[in-house]
Amino acid sequence: MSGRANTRRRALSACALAALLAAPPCARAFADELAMQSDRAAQALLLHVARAGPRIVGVGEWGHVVLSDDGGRSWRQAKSVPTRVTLTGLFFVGARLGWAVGHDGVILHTADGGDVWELQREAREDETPLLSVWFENATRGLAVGAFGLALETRDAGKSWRRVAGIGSGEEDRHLNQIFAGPEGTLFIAAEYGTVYRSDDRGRSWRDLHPPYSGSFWGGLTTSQGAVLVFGMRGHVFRTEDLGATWVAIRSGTEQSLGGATELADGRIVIVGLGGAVLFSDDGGKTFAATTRPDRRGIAAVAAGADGQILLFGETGVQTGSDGRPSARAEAAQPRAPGP
Amino acid sequence: MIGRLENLVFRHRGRILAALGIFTAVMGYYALQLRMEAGFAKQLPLGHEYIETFFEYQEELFGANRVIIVIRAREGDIWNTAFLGKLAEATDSVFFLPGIDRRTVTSLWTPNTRYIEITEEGMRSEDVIGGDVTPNNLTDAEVDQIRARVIHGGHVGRLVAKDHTAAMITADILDVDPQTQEKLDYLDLSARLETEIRGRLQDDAYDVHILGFVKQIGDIADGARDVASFFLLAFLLTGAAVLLYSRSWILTVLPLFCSLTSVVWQFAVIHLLGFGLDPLAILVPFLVFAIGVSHGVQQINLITKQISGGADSMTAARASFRGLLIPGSMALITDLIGFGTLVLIPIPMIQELGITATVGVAFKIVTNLVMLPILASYCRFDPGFVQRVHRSREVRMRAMRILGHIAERRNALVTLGICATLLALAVGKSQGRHVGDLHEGTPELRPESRYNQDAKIIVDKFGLGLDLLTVIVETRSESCIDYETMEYLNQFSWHMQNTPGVLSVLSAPFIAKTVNAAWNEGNLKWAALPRNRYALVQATGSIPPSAGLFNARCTLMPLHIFTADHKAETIKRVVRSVLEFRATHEHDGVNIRLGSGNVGVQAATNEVLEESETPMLVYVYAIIIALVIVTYRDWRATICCCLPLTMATFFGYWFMAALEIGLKVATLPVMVLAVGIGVDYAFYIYNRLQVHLAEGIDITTAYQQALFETGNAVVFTAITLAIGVATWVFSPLKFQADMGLLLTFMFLANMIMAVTALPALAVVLEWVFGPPKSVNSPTLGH
Repeated sequence: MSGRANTRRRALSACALAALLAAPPCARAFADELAMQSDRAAQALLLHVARAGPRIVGVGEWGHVVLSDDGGRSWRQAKSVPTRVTLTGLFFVGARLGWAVGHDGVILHTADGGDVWELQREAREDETPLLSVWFENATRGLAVGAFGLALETRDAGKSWRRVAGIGSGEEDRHLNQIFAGPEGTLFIAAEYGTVYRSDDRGRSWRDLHPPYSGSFWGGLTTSQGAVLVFGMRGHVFRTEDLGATWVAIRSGTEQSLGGATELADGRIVIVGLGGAVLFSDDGGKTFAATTRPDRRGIAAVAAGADGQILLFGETGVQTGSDGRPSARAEAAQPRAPGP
Repeated sequence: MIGRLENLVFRHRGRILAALGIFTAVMGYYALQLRMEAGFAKQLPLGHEYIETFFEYQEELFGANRVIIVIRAREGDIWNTAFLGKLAEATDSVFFLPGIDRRTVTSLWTPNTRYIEITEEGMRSEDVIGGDVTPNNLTDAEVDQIRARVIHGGHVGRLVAKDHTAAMITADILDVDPQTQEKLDYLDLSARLETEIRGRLQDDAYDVHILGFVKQIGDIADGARDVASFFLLAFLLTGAAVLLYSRSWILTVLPLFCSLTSVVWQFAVIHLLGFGLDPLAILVPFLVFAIGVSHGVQQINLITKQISGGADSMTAARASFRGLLIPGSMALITDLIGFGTLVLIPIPMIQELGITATVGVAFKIVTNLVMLPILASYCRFDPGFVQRVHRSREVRMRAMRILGHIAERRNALVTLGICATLLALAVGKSQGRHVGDLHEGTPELRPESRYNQDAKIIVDKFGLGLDLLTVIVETRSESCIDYETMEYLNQFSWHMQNTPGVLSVLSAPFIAKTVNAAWNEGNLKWAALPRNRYALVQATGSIPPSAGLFNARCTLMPLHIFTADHKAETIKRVVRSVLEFRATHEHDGVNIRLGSGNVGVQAATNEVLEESETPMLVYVYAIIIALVIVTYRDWRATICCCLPLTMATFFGYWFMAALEIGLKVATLPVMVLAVGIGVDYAFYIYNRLQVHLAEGIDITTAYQQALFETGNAVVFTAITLAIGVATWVFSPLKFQADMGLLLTFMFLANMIMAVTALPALAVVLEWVFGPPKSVNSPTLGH
């Protein structure tokens, strides 16, 4: 743990002591306050989603963590989240242990499936947000963020240390998403047309170069062992050989794409800005694009109950049709009402 | 003393009349120059904290006084050359209207409408409609390009309707022309919007909807023009009733003529004071006329009584002058001071109304108490008149005799019992009375009015909030690029967003977060305030100053809070939430101040109205009590005159609660004016009661006598005037209809209380405390 975090913890307990002694309230920065309990938490910006066993957990702006135990029909806010920063990434190991990352280099940890969180790390003066987190098991994990920031823990997050050497010399790239690839590999979707792969659980990385210069915002490993990466302006690439060769996939949209999931029946959904929702019936070889009528940005997607998908983005969490052919007609909206 | 005055007046009656005639001619000249006039600032409570803030930042805050014009395609959508051509024409027309701040004109065709495209290379900002595109040679390809840019630029729901069937033009209005320093003629601008925008552009294919204070006040003024016809209708109804009552053309014309004379004088004085006739105050002349008629009828009542007793006109006129000068002056002076207290409410509109009413009532002392008897002294009555009057008097007397039974002990007790029960009920029910406006849209106009329909369409099509509270946040210089201040505002915005009744919040940090994401490839994960100073400069620097989220030096960073409605409870809750945040989260160098926007103004107005209503009525009552004590030197008179009035006031509150008429700028004066009218009734009746008690008659007979002399005139005038104002219910102006309802009720309630509760109180008081030792009745001038 860094010395800064220690100082802050001491400051916090001084405040707690003052409160106990009924002294005048201790002036505190908002960033030190718990996330506000808000009726609008599930309608405000949400950026990432993960499963904690049967539970679905979403994170987003204002330190919001929202929980659903009924497949997304109803949502409640986590009881205690000790930050108000925008949370960007989330990962669960099993149903109880989870980590969330966000701006100000914040890393949060939960041991009860997402209801109560503790602050493991914060580095405000770094001015660098964390964007994604991945855990190998209950103790070892990696968190990545802007300007090539990568952190590793071996003690379940009690301490984090910087990892150097992702990429060959160009360490300032934004590492947008870290995700597990096939055959025990690890991938990072990054800025400037870069994808990194590690074959040794994140100890060393190699550059892969899909034929695109724009940024990749995310990726997905399919159950068939293919890897999809996607990013700006509707660009999607697919590889079946761990990134040795890439196939450009026609996405049918020019919206930037940031989130994806594979549904129980093997179909793949990719979501993006401007209300873009893309469906694939063939493991990501072809996609059919639809546009949500509100055209608001979507950052993440998960399977919900009743054949619905759950969309996380600018308007919080929304349900949508899962895009089966029968339902696709209604999900598909014209790009704009024609004359 | 009265006798000497009487001799003086009637000896010089010719000269006095000539002087009054010349005076009326001069005043008539000025009265004709009176014009309708309306202003925004007049309705604001001066000196209130929020309004001070409002005025202080009026110049720096865009959008406080804005006009919105929507062109809607009746069929299909807006994406065709014809529609966009029409929109360009409309934009140009708006640009050249007087009073429009040209910097702020915004539509798809203005250069301040831009869209941002994020590419691999970075951000690109361009005009939605490029400078090289002209409405005359617009191609379909260009229309498609414009549509794409509008959608990507996020202009749907702002400049273009959510369903793409309408487009908007907005512009700010300048209250005072910065070059000429001339005040804007709102009614002229409203008329021009009607002729030059709606008149020119609306046709079978396109509908035009206009919204904004200027149109609102214009439409109210248009509705107020109809007030003239209501005035005429009420005038004719009153005339017919007076004719029926007096059975004489002469005695009908006299009170109406005298009352109108004072209205002419009143108009002249309003003009000479530099006021215009405000739509909201146009009811005052009618009210003054009504008061005049009610006093005039008392005069003709007494004159008729004398004539039918065999007196000649001169004797009858003198008797009337003598008999009514004291109660009449007293009633009018009470009205005058009562209306005068309206000046204490720090809302110029109400002050103006108070001054206008005071002046009008002051003139009544001359026209009704002096001019009318003098004129009557010249009149000749035909012999048939006495018989006609006799017959109609008989009918009325029979009714009065029945009413007179109230002055018997048993009946008096029953009456008081009923009154007490009703009062208790009224006090309870009046707690449910609302403050401010209750209904959607502009409360001055009816829900089905063109303006409110336009508002409804625009709200539906654009998802626009019309109810806005702007919280002023004063900061140190350059605070838009100070992380701590921005983060403080960010938290404040979210706190407000979570307040029930708040629809949405617009503030610099909210937009800066979105812009920060835009600078980072549009990735939503970057929707946060950057701690990095350069990134923050970049984020806030990209927000156009015209957004109204900060001023040039970043010392002012307002929060625009859109509320679900403008009901008083909603406003209170939101205001409380602001104050709560301010109290619990002090931040160095940041000063949070309320408040601008229509909700801020409404909040201040509501507070002022609520605070001033009770003191206001206490003043009016204090004045009445003081006058009664000075005149009668008897505590019983105070109780007999004031308690029935108080009951009527509470019945009025109950009525307001039941009919959902809120306490607002338009209705507060009505309650005060109603007390003034009620006191007239009480004085006329109580005065005669005193006269007869002083003659040694028992109280039951004395009351019956009083009913014969003044009471029947009170009943008659109240019913006549109630019918007159009841016609206002059909007015196109909602507030006039409400005022009409309330006034009708107050006329009747005051009258009923004056002829029932007043004598009942007098009887019971005498029964319990014995007859007063010496009855002081100053009218015993003969």
